[in-house]
Order: sequence, then structure tokens, then C-alpha cells
Amino acid sequence: MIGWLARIAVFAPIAAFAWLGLARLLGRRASERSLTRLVSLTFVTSVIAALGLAGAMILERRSSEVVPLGTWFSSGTHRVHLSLLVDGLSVPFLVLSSVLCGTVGAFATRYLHQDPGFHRFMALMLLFAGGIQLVTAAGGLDLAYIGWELVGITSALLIAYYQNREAPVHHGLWAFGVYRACDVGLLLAGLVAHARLGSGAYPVLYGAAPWPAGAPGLAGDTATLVAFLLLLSAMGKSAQVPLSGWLPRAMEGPTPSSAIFYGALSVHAGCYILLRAAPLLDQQPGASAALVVVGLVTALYATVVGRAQTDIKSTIAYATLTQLGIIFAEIGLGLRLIPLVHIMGHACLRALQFLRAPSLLHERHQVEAAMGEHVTRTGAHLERHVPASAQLWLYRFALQRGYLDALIMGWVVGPVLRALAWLDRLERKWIG
Amino acid sequence: MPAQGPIGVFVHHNTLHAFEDLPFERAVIEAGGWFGAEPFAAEAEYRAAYARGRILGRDLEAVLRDELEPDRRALAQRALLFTFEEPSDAALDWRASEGQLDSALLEACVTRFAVRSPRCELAPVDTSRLIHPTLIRLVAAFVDQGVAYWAMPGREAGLFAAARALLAQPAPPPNPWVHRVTRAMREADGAPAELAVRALDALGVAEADWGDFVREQLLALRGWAGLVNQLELRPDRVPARRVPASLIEFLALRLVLEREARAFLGERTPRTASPLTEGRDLRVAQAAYGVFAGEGGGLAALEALDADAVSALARELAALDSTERRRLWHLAYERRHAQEFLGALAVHRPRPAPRPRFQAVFCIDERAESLRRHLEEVLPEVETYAAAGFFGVAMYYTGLDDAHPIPLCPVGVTPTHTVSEVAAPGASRRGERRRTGRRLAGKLAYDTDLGTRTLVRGTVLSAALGVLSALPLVWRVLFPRAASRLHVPLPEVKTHLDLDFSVEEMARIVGELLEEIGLTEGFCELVLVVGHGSSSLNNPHESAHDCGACGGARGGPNARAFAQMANDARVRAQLAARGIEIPARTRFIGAFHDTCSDAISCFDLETPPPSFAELRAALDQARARDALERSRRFESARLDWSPSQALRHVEGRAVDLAQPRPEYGHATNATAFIGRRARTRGLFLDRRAFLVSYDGSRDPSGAVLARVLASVVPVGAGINLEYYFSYIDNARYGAGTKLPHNITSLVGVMDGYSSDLRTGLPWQMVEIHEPVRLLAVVETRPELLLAAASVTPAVVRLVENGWIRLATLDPDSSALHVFRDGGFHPFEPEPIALGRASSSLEWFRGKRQPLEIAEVGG
Repeated sequence: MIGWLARIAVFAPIAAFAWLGLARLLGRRASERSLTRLVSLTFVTSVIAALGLAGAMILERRSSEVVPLGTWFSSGTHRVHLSLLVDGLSVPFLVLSSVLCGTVGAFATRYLHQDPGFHRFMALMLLFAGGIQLVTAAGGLDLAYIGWELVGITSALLIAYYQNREAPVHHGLWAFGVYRACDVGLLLAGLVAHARLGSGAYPVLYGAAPWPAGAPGLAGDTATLVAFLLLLSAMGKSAQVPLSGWLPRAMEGPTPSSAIFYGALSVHAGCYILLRAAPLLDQQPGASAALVVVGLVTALYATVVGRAQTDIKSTIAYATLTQLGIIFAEIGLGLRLIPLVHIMGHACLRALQFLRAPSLLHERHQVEAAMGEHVTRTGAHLERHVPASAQLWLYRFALQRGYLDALIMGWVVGPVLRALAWLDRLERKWIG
Repeated sequence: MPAQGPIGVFVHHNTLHAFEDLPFERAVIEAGGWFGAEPFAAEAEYRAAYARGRILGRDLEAVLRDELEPDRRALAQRALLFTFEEPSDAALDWRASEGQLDSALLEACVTRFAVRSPRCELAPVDTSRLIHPTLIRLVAAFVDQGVAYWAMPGREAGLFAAARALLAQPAPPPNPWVHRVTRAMREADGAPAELAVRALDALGVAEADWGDFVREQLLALRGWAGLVNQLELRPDRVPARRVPASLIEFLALRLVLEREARAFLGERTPRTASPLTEGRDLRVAQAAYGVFAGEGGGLAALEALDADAVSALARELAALDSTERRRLWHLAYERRHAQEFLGALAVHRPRPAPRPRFQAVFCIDERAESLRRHLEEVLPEVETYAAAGFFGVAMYYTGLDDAHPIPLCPVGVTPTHTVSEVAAPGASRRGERRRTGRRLAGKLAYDTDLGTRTLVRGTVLSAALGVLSALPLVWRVLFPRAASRLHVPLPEVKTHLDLDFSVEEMARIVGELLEEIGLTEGFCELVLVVGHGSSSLNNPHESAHDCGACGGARGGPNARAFAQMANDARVRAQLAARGIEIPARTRFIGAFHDTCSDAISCFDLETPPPSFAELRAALDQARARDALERSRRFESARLDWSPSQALRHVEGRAVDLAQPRPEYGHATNATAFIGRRARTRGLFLDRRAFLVSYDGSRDPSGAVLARVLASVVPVGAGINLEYYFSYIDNARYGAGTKLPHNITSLVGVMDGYSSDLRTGLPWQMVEIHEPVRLLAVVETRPELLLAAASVTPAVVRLVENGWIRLATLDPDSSALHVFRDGGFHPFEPEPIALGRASSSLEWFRGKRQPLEIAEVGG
């Protein structure tokens, strides 16, 4: 029962995507109405299954359950098994992500009505939902990585949703670049686990005891390496400093995609993968300290930068980033339940704020009417806490988003491009 | 530059207002060159209209007859009917291989007509990549009206000074461009104008080219430049906080950055052209194919021509380029529309209201057309009128629930009176409680929202209470209509308006309006005065749906003020002296129509007269039918709904966070009729006609007409032309799709992360529009109209240059005259057989597409 509910909750969106893709392959193009029906049906199924799963776990007093899915491939004696893990961490997240995907999906069917990209959007939305459910319910790093990549690619494609303009494509590529660079962390972590333990499954890697307890299967330098690799991958997905530049750039897509990806679910995937690694992090003071530092720097950075932003979506993006930093720090400090609750609350809050973003003028007008004054009140922090000589500097820092993009362009992208050009010249010389 | 001010108060403008001194057809082509925009709709669209009968063969023939010399007509006709967009080798090859084309003929045409064209690839220095991110952020911060928590420091000193102080701050990372800007700003001292000139010199722009260069520079971010310009010209239009905006400072900043960017990119000359490839221009060859294919005689006919004949033909065909073809198509498209409307007016027999028992005055807005029609169908004893929806009451207005006075009158007028809504005597305690309650709720909402975005409060709020937002999230998205009914209960307060007008002024306002619409006698017991506005969510362009005559605001208070004035016994006494006797039993009632949810509320009805119930019931029936008529254009609404189902649907739309099309606004507007309602009553005009009440028999001198034209024509043309251009080229003249719009600085929208400010209308507002110039028909005699129109220069310019089409309908017959080449000419419309239906419902039931004019009811 539990196994089937978990499978349905996780795979319903992917099945719907596959159905859609197959129909397209056969030259059938679903009408907007029938596609809307398919999306609704999928998400309703997913929500019911997730809620049922939560109910079943409580009723049957189960704390943790591995749902085997089968063997992916084997090579010699080495077998890669795939499984789902339903426990106190993944079930709340499954409920959260299916409810949010369903709600935002319902929003999108009306919002994108008659848009030329309606089909593309819905297909990507379903694939994303499948990806995030996989990350959530994966029983090991292998399956989590598949979900992680699905989330990444759908995210980049939705940022670049308006392909006929240059900026969205450019920014989609930016996000994609950051994702790819950081995904290496998760991939390598999985490979190290397989090399050392013969398996990427969480019960082997993090211990079989119910989360957040557990004895990690790795120790010593390897364990440290894996912890830092996971940190790297999480930093990319959750836009921590110095990789934060892609998050405001991601506001190119239609509003509902901003809500579900950058307010609600995708950006929290990094936090989730770290929470999942709690037993490992408990043994790694170095990595935990790094987490705290990265998180606090990000929170401080985002709150400073966010205060100077003048468009509503960037404002919310930096507000999101502030909390992501705090959640990182909470995890680094060894807290477990608090970040879990924090993520859930934060995801709902930001999803709603993003969906309300186009109504800003309307709401502002109402609030001002109610309060009887213009609310142009600005934060006094700049004047109160920052010495006059540094105020202008700090404001420029904030307005130009901490120069982080310039930093990446100057120190990372530039040298890489130059190195590639050099290699290219070398190759031409050798060949011809 | 766009003349659009802050988006919170959206006023419709002719997008090409600056070109109004040119004739329309020349202006759209010239402006198209400036903005890289389309002058007319796509050829494919006109051809599709031709295929479905929206343009007829005889329209094309008539246009060709009017526009071209006789010997060119046949050729032009073939060119119009046989062309396809953007010919290329590949497209032609493919069509030939598909057997759609005669490949031997095609080959011959290509050999003899293809033009070798060196394809000059302009290799402009693209500085926008460097400049725009910085410039956009600076200007947005400068004009910000309260999005950012920190306001830009030093912005009181002006854009340039503030930007200079900021950009001169040290910047840490290894980015040479950032450093270059920093250095340049430290060295930039002097007045902005002086710096701009120095930058132009440094850029190597000759003084003779300054005009063009500056224009190009300003148009590169024309939304932002236009906004700065508007804030400089109309500082009173700023929503919350005045900023010392100045276009020259914007330009200076732009030019200094431009100079640095060019130097940075190692380019000094403005543009270099490098011929890349030599290509073939197949456009003429393609047109030639059209000439010879089929009935044109084929290959044999082509081969019969000598070289001179070929080059003569090539010249002819080159003159019939895509722009010229589309111009001709467009004229044909407009001709069909004019034929239908004028024909309908000519055959429609005047239909006065039988023994009126009620009178109702609406706004001239074309959206009121359907509501009036339904009301007349439901209750034939209603006589309806229309006047500009501020009803002559120009005022600053503060409602009981408002924080600030807002102007409620046309944009060109500056009100001199202030009106406030105050709690009625005895209700002031309740009013105070309401205000306190609202203030608390507002403050809580604002502080919570702001708090979630800060560091410490945000942590507490999101961690501790964030999950609670799942409830409004799910509820508002899945059940918008139900969710909208939940709000903090506040005491209802009885109010009245505190009118700061003298009795003489009130009598003048009421008297002039009544004379204008021709209601000076035969008053019924109840006279309803209906203002309008629109409320919707998820809509930065919400205000564009409000009443244009109220300057992009809601006209309910104007209707209410008018009614209060007209009910005043002192005012009536003065009116009697003016010759307008309003009987004591007559009562004026102010009302407000929300064009999005189709709600109608009436003001000041503590003691409604007995006959009011009947009128109210009719209003309710009419608004439900109106909702159904509107819904038929929404693809997501079903065609088989009942009026009450449609009403529920539009109520839901108005409060739906996910709804990008709360209403279609002025889309499809096309005509205006200035005259007695009897001439249009009973005609189904499909919500496309501005209807202005005017009775020429009471205006022998034409003085009233001159007043009506001066207020109605510029407003109507502004709306009509803004829709025209936003539809024709939505990406350049319009605001593009609204789905990625991002509200910036509370003054406008950008596309996504960072872009030029998008002006004009979004696609979701104009997608069902039919782009035709406004056809205004006035019920008067041509010489009177000429005299009345010539009083206002703006009207003269619009009419003479063909930005609107003007015609007259004789008050005593069905004779028509249209304005052409500086004068009125008799016009004989083609015979037309109007469709007939027992009611509007019957006529539009089950139909999605635009409908023909029909006679309905009676």
C-alpha cells in the first residue's frame, strides 16, 4: 500500500509527461482543454497519493520504508538498485511539492491560456514536478541525481521560455551553466559512494536508522569529500553566494514558473539534499561550519542587495535568497526539524508572493487607501547603521547586485573562455 | 518617445502622436522606419480576411480605382492576390518541388527579374549590452515610487548628480568595464548639458548629425526615456513621490556611458558597414511570377516581352512592394467596415423610445453600448443617453476609504474643485470605527508583507507562520470567486458627498450636460446616471480599463456628484431660469458600472422611490446579458451558458489572480456615432461604437457640437489609435505578452529581469482587435460639422490628416456625406440587407467571432 502510494505520487507527473511526449511523437497534438484536463488529473492524483501516503505512514506507525523499484543496470558483480525512501523527511516534502505543483499548475492553465507555448510549458511543468518528486523521494543518490537534472534542465528551459527575445535565452544559459558546474558535486558524490560502498542508497550511505539519526557508512577524508561535494551541488541549486547571480536572472519566464521554481520548490532542493545528509553532516564539523558561513554570508548579501531592488520580482527573489541562506545556516548548526518547517513555510509564502506579483499596483493602492498615507517609507537601516561615508558605496554595491556576476565573468568565465581559445589555437596549429 | 506616464493612471494616447502633422498613411510608414515597426497588419492577415469575406472583391477594386492610375490597376490586383511573405530561395524551391509552382516559369522569372543585391550587414557596435543594465537600474532607482526599501541616495539633486555620486564609488572586482565607468564618473564634472555636448564631440559625431544621433540614443531605451520626459513635463502625474526628472540629464548619462562603452569596445566611428555576401533579392521575381502564372499567359507571355518591357514591368512591380500592397489591403479592409456601418445607419429607421418612464445616462464608452442595448431590450420604456463619463464634473476626489485626492476628469483639464465623501450626520462614529479598522488591517498587511522580505522578521515569519500562507494560496488560486468574498468585516457607513461648488457652477455643469445630450424636457421620475470603471487582479494595466474621460480612473463619484447636483432644489431653480424645467418628482440617481465584473451599484438610495425596484430588476437582467455578450469573446467561456452563469464567470475573472484577460477593454472599438439615440437604438453594434448623445435640432449654431467634438474626438482617436498600433506591431508599439511582465518602481512594467519599460498595450488586451481607424458619424449637416470641427486645432489635425474618418448623417433623412480631400462628399452606401433578430441574445448566441450589424428587438 505504502509502496504503491509512493510510486503513484512520484511517477504520476512523469507518466503524464511520457504520455504527452508519446502523443506528440505520433503526431497528435492535444487541445488546450484536454491538456488542462490531463494536468489537473495528474496533480490531483499526485496530491491524493501523497496525502494518502502520509496518512498510511501515521496509521501504520511506520517511520521509514524503502520502496524498491528494481535494478537499473549491473556490471559484473556491481548492481545499481533504485528505490524510493519514504520517511519523516520525504513524506512532508512530497505533500508540499505535490500541493504546490498542483496549485501552480492550476494557476498556469488559466494564466497561459492561448499562449503559443502552452503545450511546452505544461510539458516542462510536468517534467519538473516529476523531477522534484524524484529528488524528494529518492532512496539514494542515483535516483536523486536523475531528478536533480530534470529539475535543472526544465528550469533552464523555462527561463528561456520566450525564445524569440535574446535576454531570456542568455539568462537561461547563465542558469544552466551554474547548474551544470555545481551538479558535478552531486554526480561525484554518488560515484564516490559507489566506489567506496558499492551503493548510492541512503540507508547504506547515511545509515539505516530513521532520519535524522543514523550512522554514515563513510568516514575520514572520503566522508569529508562527499560532504563538501554535496555542499557544492546544493549551493548551485539554492543560489548561494557567490553563485547567486542566476536567481534574479531567472525571472524571465512566465510568472507561475518563477513561483514554483524560484520561490517554492527548485531553490529548496539544495536545502533538502543537505537535510537528507544530516547523519553525514553531524560527523563533519568542517563542512557544517562551511555551511553556516556560506548561509550567513548569503543571507547578509541578499538582504543588503534586496533592499535596493526596484522591481517586484527581483525584490522577492532576494527575499527568497535571504531565507535560503538562513536555512543553510540552520542546517549547518545541526538543527533538523526547524529547517524542515522553515522550508515548508517559506515555500508556501514565496509561491503566493510570486503569484501576487502582477497585482502589486492594485494591492499597493488598497493598502495605501486603508492606511491613509503613501507608504514610501524607506528602511532607516542605511542611515542608522551605516556610516555616512560608506552609505553610497553600500548602495552602489546593492544596486549592482554585489558585482557577483562581474566577479564570475572576470574570474571564472573569462579565464575558461581564454583557455578554450588557447586550446583551440593549439589544436589548429597541430592539425593544420 | 512614448507619451505614457506612470502606469497606475493609464491614459490612452495615439502612439504616434508626434506624427499627427503628417497624413496617416505617410506617418505610419515613416514612423515604421524610425522604430523598425510595421505600418499595417501582415499581408497574410489581410488575405485571410479576404478569404473569409471580411474584405470583398469589390472593396479591392474600389480602392485600386481610387488610389492608382488605370493602367496599373490590373497589375496591382494580381500582385495583391498572389504574393507570399519573405521569398527566399529555399521557400521558392520547396514550393516548386511540392508542385505548387510552375518551375519553368519560376526559373525564367528568377533569371529575368532577380536583383543582385550586395547584402550590407551593418556591424553596429553593440553597446547596449554594457550600458543598459547599469542605466536601467539607475533610472529605475531614481524614479522608484516605493518598491525598494532603500531609496536612491541623493536623488533630490537630479538623475545625473545622483548617478555620478554612486558610480564614482570604488568597485572591487576585476571587471574592467565597471572600473572604466567609475573612472569616467569621477572625471565627469560640469553641467549635464555640457557633458552631453562633450560626449558627442568625443564620439566623433558631427554637429549636423546630432539630431539623428541623439534620437537614436533616446529611442534605444525609449520606454525609460519617455517616462523621464513625462515626469519632467507632468510632475503632478507621479503616483507618490516627486523626483526632479530631466530628459537632458538622462541623455547626458546615456551619452557619457555610450562614449565609454565605444572606447571600451575599441570602436570610435558610430557604425561601420561591411559588405558580407552578395545575395539575390527575389521579391520582384516573385511578384513577376504572380503576374504570369495561371491566366497571365505563362512562360510564353513572359518570353514575348523584350528587355525594355521587362525592365518597365520590374519597376512597376518594385513600386508595389510589401508596404504598398498592405496599404492597399488596409484601405480595402477599412472600406468594408465603413460600408457596413454607414449602410446600416442609412437603412435603419429611427426608433424613439415608446412613452419613456425612465431615463439613463451612460458614458460614451463603447463598452456601454451593449449594456444600454440590453437595458432597452429588457425594459423598452427606458430612454438612454450618453455623455463623456465625468459628466462635466471635473474634481479632485477623496472617497471615505481613500488616502489621497485623485483627479477625476479628462487629462487635459486641471480641476479647481475638491470633493470628499464624508460620513453622513450621525454616522461619524461608525465612520471612525471603519477607518480605524481599515488602518489596522492595512498596516498589518503591509508590515507583514514587508517583514517577510527582511532578514530577521522574515525568518520568524516564514518559519513560524509561512505554512499558513498555503491556505490563501490554494484557496485564491482554485476558488477565486469564493475567496474574494472573504474579507475583514467592517461597518458599513452612510455617506454623502461634500461638494465644493457654488450653486451657479452646479447649475452650469448640470445645464450644459443636459443641453449637450438633448435632455431638456420630458423628464421621467427616475434619471439614472451611470459612471464606470474596472477592477481586476493580476493586471498592471488595470487602470487602462477605467474611464478615459475620468483620466484613467473610476467615474462612479462623478455620476454621484452629478446626481446630487441635479437633485439640489437651488440648482433646479437656476436651471428653470435657463429654460430647463425639472419637475419636483424627478429624481437623479448616481450609479457605478464595473465593466469587468458587470456589477452595478447605485448611490444614495436610503429612500428609493417605488418605481426604482422595477428599474433595478431590469438593470440586473441587463448586466447579466451584458456579461454573456462579453463572455462570447472569451475562448475559455462556454457559448451555451445562461446570462446568470456568464455573470458568475465574469465576477470570477475580476478577482482571479491567474487571469491575464479580466476584460477585453476597448478592443474592437471602431466607430463613433454622435447624434440622437433613436438613430442607433435597435442596432446591434457589437460593442464597437462610441455613442455620444447629441441633438442637433437644439443646437442651430453648432456651438454645442464644437464642444462635443473637442472633448470626444481626441479621446476616441487616442483610444482607437493606441489599440491600432498595439495590435499592428505588438512587440514594438505595444507591450508584448503580459505573462513575463515585471512591475518596476510602481511606474511601469519590464519584460522579466531587466528590459526597456514596456509602453502601449499588452497582447492579451488587443488580441481580438480589428485594426481600423475610428469612423465617426455625426448626425448633422456637413457645413455645420465643418464649422464646428474647425474650432479645435487638434480635431482639425486628426481629421484632415486622416487619423480618424469622419462622416455625417442627415438629421432628417438617410443622406450620408463622408470627409475626403478637405471636404464632405455625398456618399451612397452599397445596398445592405441587415440581419434581424428578436433580441441581441438571439443574434449573438453561440457565436464567437465578430458579428455583423443587425436590427434587434422591436
